[in-house]
Amino acid sequence: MIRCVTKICWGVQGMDIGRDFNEYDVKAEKETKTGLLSGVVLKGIRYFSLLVILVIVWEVVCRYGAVKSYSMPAPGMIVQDAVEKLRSGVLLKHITVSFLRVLEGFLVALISALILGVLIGLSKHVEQFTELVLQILKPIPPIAWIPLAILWFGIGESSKLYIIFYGAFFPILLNTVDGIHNIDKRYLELGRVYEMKKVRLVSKVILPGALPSILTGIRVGLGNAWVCVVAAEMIAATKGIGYMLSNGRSMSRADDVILAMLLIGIVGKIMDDVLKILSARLMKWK
Amino acid sequence: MKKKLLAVLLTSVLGISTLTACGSSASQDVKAETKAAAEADQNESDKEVSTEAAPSAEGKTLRVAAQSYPLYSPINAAYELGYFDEEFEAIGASYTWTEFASGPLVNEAVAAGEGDVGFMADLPAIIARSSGQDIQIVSGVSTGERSLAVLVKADSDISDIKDLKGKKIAYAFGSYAQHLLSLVLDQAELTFDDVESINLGAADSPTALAEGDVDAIVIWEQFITKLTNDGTAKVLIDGTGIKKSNMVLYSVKDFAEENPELIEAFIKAAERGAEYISENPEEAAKVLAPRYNVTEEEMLKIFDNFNFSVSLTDDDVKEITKVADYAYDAGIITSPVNGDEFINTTYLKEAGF
Amino acid sequence: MSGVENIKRIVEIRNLNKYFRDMQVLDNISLNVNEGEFISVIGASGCGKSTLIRIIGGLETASVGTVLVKGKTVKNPTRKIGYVFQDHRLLPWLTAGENIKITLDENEKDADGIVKKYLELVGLEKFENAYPTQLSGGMAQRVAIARALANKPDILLLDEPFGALDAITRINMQQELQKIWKSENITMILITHDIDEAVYLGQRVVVMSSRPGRIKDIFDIEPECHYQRTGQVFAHTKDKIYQEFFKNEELPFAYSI
Repeated sequence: MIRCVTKICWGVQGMDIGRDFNEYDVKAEKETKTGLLSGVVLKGIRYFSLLVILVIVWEVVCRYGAVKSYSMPAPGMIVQDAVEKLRSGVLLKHITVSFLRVLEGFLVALISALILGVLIGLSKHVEQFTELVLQILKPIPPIAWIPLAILWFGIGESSKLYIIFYGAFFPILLNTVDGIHNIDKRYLELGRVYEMKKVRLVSKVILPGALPSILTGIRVGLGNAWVCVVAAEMIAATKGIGYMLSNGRSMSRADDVILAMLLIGIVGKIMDDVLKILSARLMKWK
Repeated sequence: MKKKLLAVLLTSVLGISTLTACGSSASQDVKAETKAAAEADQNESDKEVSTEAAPSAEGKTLRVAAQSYPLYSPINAAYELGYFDEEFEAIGASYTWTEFASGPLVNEAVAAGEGDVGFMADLPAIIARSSGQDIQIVSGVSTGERSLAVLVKADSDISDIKDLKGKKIAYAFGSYAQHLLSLVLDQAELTFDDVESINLGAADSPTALAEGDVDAIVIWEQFITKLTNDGTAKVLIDGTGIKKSNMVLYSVKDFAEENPELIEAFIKAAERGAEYISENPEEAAKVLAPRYNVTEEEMLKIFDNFNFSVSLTDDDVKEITKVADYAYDAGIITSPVNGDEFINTTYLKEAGF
Repeated sequence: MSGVENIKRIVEIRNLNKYFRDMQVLDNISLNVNEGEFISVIGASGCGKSTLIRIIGGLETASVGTVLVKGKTVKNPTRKIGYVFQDHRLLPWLTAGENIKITLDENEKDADGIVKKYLELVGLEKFENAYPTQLSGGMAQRVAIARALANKPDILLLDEPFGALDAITRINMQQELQKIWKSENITMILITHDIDEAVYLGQRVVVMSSRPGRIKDIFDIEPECHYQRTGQVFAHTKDKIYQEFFKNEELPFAYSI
């Protein structure tokens, strides 16, 4: 345990916290590195150290502090809960169900937002036509749509999908429009000089130019869609991570609630990482 | 050397801040516990002086985590008619009243240390106890075999409980409605595997039934009367002969031990509320109907489905124990709850009931 | 047929005035450019030379006056009026070759061949599949020139094409450009603020004054300047133009002979 803490402290020490980056330090740091492998190990330690510290502190507080287990279960309890659920297959089922829901809702949002975004971006008329309605809808949070979603789509999958779709839609739409509007005017001028036809201009200049912004919108959209899974699964769900969270609340199972939160964070991070890699591939020209 | 110092400092700062952040309630609990220990000693010596608690309630406050449904009419009536004000003024104490939409939300508030007493159906109270909350049932609020029922659409072709096989049934998971359904299914020689359970609260179930999204719902008053009155639904079966449906009042154990007078004052006011409803139903209906968004006519019908009283008989204790056992067997709770330990009728008796 | 008629005026500018809101940017510019000529236009920043070349290129319109290219009024930019910007304006997401290809006519059958040919012309045939981020500033600008030429324009307009490059690269590029001019035999109009460049490349140097932009003087440049940057003739010519901008400077004794 002490060794662990010391290791972490060394990792912390490796962080240049608030010190000026001066050559001497860089040299000194380089000299202590005994090769590429230890560099990677050091980076790994730094990467995980904060999380490990927090978990340790959490466990200690719960074991020796006066915190009730029903208001703040110890990490050990959470792990136990997770293991139980993994064994019975329930955990994987919840994750899969939520993941598929999010994927479905997200894909619908992706296609519709891209199409609408390109139309609005390219056509002043379409923009003016849709502007007012979209601006009014934009600030409404997905949760607020639950009652209407139930009324319009019932209590089955469609209403849940709608909430998730709604969460992903606006970031993608707005970033697509922005990306198109913010195309460097100089490229458009280039298009004029070379008499590029509209189709060529859109496909070879405007869309690729807007791509960074669009990809950002997609990342935000997917993240949002995932967050909405909690709201969506409040509608008559019997499976899913969001359901696990709401049900945990109803059943005074704080460990379920925290486990669900952790899963949302972890799966969300993985999805974002995947998108980041895909984005980098798509924009390999950078 | 300096670097090491900085690292250790950082770790301890992080540690301390986390401790204080998530442990503020912890420190409160610690303070409360030491305070309670000191006061317990005090009470011990006090008890020898007098059995009436008159002066020690002075200046104290009872925090009520309330709900507004016909199930709790004695308490809601006592609130509206000012009985709480009277009873608490009489002992020089006060109370606060915060409303929640459901039992689990009351449990949440009490668990967070924001409430001293709460009232709800049997099952959610048991779930709270099972999760580790140190609470005790101190009195009843109402019972009503017809106050909880399985409803189907008025024109539904489901006429017998055996027809529920393969159907979609909506109910709030973990609520006492689930218990009634389990008893009904037992009676029909079916299991939960024979039906499709949809998790819906009382807010959304009526619409789902009306729209045909589900075939049956398990729900309580005021929804039963409202839906049967306007012709949307009919009662397939209710708790008659199956489930008494106890609404209970619970208190944080330590709080009750330190402030028995506050608990007793509450119970007294609640019983007065119950008496008022049975003696003056029309006036009571006038007072309460707007609260539950029903007409006075409907209110009177609803009253008929209940027996309002704070008493907890041996029979009630048995009923509640049955629910606790069901909860454990069904896996709703993971640690068992002992009915006799959970229910504490001392305050009830002190209050004279 | 007299010899004069054989020299065609490929660009004719008559009484060109340009106003931006209520500010006059160009004042009564008249200029003729002959086919195959290399014209340098030099002036201080803000003298409107950029605006002038943009009007010739069709990117802006004249407020008053006419601009004719090959006898036709310029209304819009076209491929036939080649344009090289100060920044290379290569699309970062396309390779050098693709950048040229997308500017060609869609019906062009030998697009790939043309791309190769013009990349070879600027000495970058090996970089057909390189992305702009992989090219140096000079190389990227050469691709831009190749791109313009690949469309076989009647004239080539260059708006301070080497302004963003370092001094040594600039000299190399000037030599390249001259070679291309000679081998393609295409009319070129170059805007610059670099006197050296103007004299080295241009057969005529048009000096513009600022605010509003006017043609102050037009110098004929002796052919020797196009071979030798270091000779006396070059320096003398440079000085003459230098004097246009910076009056009252003493000439060294040797030049006053």
